[in-house]
Amino acid sequence: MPNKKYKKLLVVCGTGIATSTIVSRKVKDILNQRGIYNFYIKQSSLAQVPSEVSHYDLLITVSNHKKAYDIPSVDGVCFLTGVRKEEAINKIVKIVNED
Amino acid sequence: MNFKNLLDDDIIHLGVKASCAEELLGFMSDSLEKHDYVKSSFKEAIINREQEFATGLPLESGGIAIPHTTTEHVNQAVVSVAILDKPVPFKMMGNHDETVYADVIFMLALKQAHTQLEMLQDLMKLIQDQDMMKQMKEATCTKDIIQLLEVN
Repeated sequence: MPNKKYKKLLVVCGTGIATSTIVSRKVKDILNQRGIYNFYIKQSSLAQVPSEVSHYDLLITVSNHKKAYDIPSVDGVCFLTGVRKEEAINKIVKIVNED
Repeated sequence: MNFKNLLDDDIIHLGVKASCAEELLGFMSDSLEKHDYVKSSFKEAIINREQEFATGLPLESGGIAIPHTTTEHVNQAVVSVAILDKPVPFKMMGNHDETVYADVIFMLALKQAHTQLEMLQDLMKLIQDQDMMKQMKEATCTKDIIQLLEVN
């Protein structure tokens, strides 16, 4: 099997401390459980996003950011509430699996 | 659960009456400050941060909020809990256009997120457990809350 392209995910919350920590750990666990390892996941704060976003393939947001970026984004609040989580997971899996 | 040393009867509040989120956050912050868990700057910081980055979460079991702020306002890491008589409106985390009526509040006074990661993960697991949340709301004394958080 050819190696999949390595994807970089950025999880963003207000301070980059509490909620992004939980969400990034959760997304990592869920992807690993599905046998997906070709990704790197990092947490960040909203203020840091503009300087970091160009290095990433996907934004997972847990904060109210109005600004649109050039990369796809997924609402990560569902990883805290458990409500409609499957939709977000499917979107993340699709992007990580893209060539 | 990993709530050991992060809970204290004095900052668990049952049957709280508040007319709005700000009043509630002020009340909980004052209590934390009174017991030396946070600095005097905590209250303003947590109210401001709630406006900038709201923490209301719509769960299957109803609305909750997990207000928190940056670590420099905290003396000692602790989790304050409030169970409200009537829900108060919070803005939703990640989408400030939505309102969440919250009646269970976990105010997180964090020193370092990484060392409290397990607690935070446990907390997220707990809030997604509808039966646990129901028991939290039905608690009749602060010991009930501590037991639910520590044992489950």
